[in-house]
Amino acid sequence: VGVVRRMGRRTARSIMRTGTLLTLVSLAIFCMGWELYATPARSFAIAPPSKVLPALVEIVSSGDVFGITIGTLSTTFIGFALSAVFGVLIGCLLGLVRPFANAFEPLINAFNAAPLTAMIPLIAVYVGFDADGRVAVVILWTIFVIIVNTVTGIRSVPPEYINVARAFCARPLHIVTMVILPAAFPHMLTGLTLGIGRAFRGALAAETLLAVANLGRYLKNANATFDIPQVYARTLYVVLLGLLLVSAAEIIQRRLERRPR
Amino acid sequence: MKAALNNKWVHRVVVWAALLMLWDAAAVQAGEFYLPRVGDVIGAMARAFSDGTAGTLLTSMRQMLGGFALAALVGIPLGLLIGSSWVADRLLSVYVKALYVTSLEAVIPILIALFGTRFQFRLSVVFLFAFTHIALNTIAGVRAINPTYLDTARAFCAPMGKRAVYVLMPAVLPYIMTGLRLGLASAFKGMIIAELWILVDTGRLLTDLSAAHALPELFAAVLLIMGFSLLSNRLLFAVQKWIAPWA
Repeated sequence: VGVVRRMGRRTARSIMRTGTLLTLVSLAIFCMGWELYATPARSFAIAPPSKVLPALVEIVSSGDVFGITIGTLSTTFIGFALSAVFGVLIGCLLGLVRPFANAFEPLINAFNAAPLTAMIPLIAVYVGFDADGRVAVVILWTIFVIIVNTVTGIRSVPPEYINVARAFCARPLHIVTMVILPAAFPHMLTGLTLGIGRAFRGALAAETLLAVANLGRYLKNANATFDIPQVYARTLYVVLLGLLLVSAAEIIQRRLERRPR
Repeated sequence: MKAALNNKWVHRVVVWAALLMLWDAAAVQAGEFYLPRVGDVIGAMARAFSDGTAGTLLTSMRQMLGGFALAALVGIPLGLLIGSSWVADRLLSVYVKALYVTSLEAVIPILIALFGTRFQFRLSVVFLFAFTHIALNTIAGVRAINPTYLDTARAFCAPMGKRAVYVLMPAVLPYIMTGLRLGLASAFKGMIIAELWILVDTGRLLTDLSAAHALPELFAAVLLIMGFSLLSNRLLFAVQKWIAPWA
């Protein structure tokens, strides 16, 4: 960074360009190496990009997967919406009511860090193999990160804000709705953005490990086709879908943060 | 009296005891077929250490530690390299970031195609789950060093090795430890997902208990896994406080 600063703005821009170039070169070398390594059928388990990409194009253009994609996304969004509502609500309670936080915060933090994947067989006992169970998994995956970020947001409101509001004799309810919550809003948004990525992963975990369905079944059956490029292409499709979801959430987050309140 | 009412441990003990009693009451109400009683779960937990459940968990965790160690061995040096070299950053960090945003659950079919269901499969899943946390935190640690410290060391003609040991290392160590803690928590998730997918060890145990509707044992096993995970996290945190008490 020091070097960049010394060289002046124009050089800095050319370095930025070199940087992007370096990344592109690295990616190109990676793809070429992969292609060269995989082509002579050295290992039957490695498919070269030249076979994976056409398979991916085939998947997207044939449109066969759109139905199951919508199935997975609706599980994701239903679970996410429920997590968002209850997560922000619980987070506000924890952030504003001290005794409540004392009692429940250690539990929330423990659940946020614990390997909840182990609970999938437990959930299977109760909610069976239908959509409710999958939504439960998504909620379990998503809600804690939203709660934790909401609490962080409320705790990080500068005390001066609250003191000023108090000095002007604002009522407690007004302090909460007009000072604390708007100030905590960016943190809540961060929690929600992290949450959407987790919700998608939760939906995938539920659809592969709880009740095989939708994109989960699509992934799980990939190995049964013994068509290796197909395995890679299906994974790539799902990964790109998740990437799209997270990027869209980040764009929305940035828009909302910039909006004057 | 007032102090007791405001003490957080008083709040905790009261509420947690109430939750346990509520659970027990619900279990009595619903019947043991639907919800095991608290005492039965605790009994099953105690039995887990003699009936082989804990042994199965430990077998899984031993395998997991292999993948975790590999992730640390690759992640820390890679993080140091990317954090300190501009060229390495441009060449390599795109892969770390790509892995970070990937839904790793979706990558498992590829890993099965590559490794089958052998030991390498579980190793690779745990590696992928833990690796990005370790590498990204190490990078963040190197980037967070106050450049004044490095300049000062350079101005006093401290040789490269001394700069690395006395300036770089103390600043980066807390970040590495944080990365290791996040990575370990993630490694547990990866371990369970991999084992549920191919039904071995702990994954097989959980699935069998679920199919057999052995609720006390299932609750006990799930609680033990989460307990082991949190305990190992606390342990790493204690290590962090011990080797890097300044952060």
